[in-house]
Amino acid sequence: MSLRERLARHWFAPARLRDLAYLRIALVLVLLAGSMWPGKLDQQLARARLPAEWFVPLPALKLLMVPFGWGARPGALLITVMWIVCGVAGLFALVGARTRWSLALFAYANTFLVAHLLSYGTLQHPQAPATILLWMLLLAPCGAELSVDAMRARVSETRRSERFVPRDTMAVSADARWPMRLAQWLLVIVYLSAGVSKLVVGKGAWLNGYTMEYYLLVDGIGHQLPASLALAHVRWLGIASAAVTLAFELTFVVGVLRPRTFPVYAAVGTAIHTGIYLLLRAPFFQFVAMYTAWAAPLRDARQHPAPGDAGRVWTLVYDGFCPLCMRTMAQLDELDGSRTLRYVDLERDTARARELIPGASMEDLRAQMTLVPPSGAPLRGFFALRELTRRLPVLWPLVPAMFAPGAARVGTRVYAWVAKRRARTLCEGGRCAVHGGVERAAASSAS
Amino acid sequence: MTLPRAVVAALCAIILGAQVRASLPISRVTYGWYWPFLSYPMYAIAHHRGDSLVARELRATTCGSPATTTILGADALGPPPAELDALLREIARNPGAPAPALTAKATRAIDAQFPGRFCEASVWARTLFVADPLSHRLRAPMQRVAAWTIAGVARP
Repeated sequence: MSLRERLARHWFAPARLRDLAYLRIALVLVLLAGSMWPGKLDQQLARARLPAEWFVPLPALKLLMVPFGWGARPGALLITVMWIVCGVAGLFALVGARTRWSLALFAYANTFLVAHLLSYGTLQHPQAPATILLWMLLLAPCGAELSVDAMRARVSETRRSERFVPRDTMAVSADARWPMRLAQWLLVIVYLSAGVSKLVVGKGAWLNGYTMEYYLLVDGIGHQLPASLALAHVRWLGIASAAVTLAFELTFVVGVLRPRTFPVYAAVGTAIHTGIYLLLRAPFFQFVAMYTAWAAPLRDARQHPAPGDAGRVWTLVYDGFCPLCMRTMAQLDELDGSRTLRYVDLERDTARARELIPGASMEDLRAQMTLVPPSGAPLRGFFALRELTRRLPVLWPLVPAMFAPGAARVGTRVYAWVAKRRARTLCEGGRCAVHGGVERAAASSAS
Repeated sequence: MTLPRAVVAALCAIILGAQVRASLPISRVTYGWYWPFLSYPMYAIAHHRGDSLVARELRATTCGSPATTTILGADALGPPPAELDALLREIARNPGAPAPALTAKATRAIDAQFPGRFCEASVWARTLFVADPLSHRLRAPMQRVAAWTIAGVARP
């Protein structure tokens, strides 16, 4: 294979759109948290109040300030507006609602805020590579999965075709690979720059233990961190952590060239950055968020059984003549990243439904959806829904509410109320289903 | 929207090339002009046994009676911690008679955040040595190294 072909494969081989969506979510989440963290707006406004002699605008800020005047200094009002835009657009970008527009607005507002904070003489590193990547995501289909946009498209397709068709494979795209590769190589260069700087500037003395002690003392005193001050004088710890850090930074490229090794790098990198935050208060979580660009090797490392493995598949039996039920199935199918759910249409695959839930009448089955585990008793209605919030990671935020005391009582009533009032009319091949069964469309319209 | 592959390849090459360019030459200084393209010499400077580090504080005393003294950290005052520390270091360089331009800069920052509240400011410092026993040095008291009055400093 020629070099050109290898490069093309490296950068443009089809990749899962879902993996790209993970990158979008991780980046937006960590940058949004960085800008919205309590006290951040106060910090922005305090900087804006400083006399002009402190203000040294970065070219990036000047560029973003073009609509308000070249070289102008942002005032409190503009900063507050940007902060609000950043928060709102960030939330939209996070959930993938109008993804491209919300991501563009978020990228602008967030970069503006970060550039303003850094326009007072001192640069900080954590946001830089994530900011570059955020702008590049605008050119990639990062909202095609795990997004409100994708779910709306899916639901609308289900409504149009009046039938829910589960996906049997993960969507892939040749446009999904390059943003992840860009994230990977950006991190490689960044870590290499950090590692080589330590070798060139600090030389071998960087590993002497006293260097780490010095930085622990500086930040321990500056941020009043007792743990940093206590650990500062444990010299062997300083030597060991310096050696691990240097080895990690200099060899990080192996994680790209040999993706199977990446889980180790991810674990070490997360530990290093968490340690740096706890002991030096330097928040490099943006780098950790960029590790989602290695979603494929990280997924492989979890060693899940293959999709479709009978031992892990749960089956949902739903009313195939109920538009609301089909929309719900389409939404669940979108959210089920690990393909752990299978779907049985009660009306079109009755035999299979009866086999899964023996003894239940059709009326019972129509009344509530049923979740059939690989082994054990089927769960009905609210309890099926509740179990789904536990099984689908995207729904985990709902788990506390679903399992709260009294939730079962309220939940079953709400479920029954909705189920009773849902529409159950669907036409297919000249026949329309109504509440009690199936009737001729012609007969129905004549009456 | 699908971009032609050549455009994507060119964009990626430009971005990675810019990042490599920003990282060179290797130095202890972060070059910031092209932010977000930066070099990453974070914590790169080595230190040795016996190296000293100076912890500094800016304190401000309120006007009126009774006067109270407050430590003004970077969070309260606004500038990045490293910039504030650099200013305090310069002020403390000449303890007897700090440079008026520097004290005026600090005064204007205090006045911008707390207009009219403080009448006097001072810089305090203590020195620690790497590899010293922790307990002894960390409890060493801060010493006043510079002081000046705040009232009457003109804004630039």
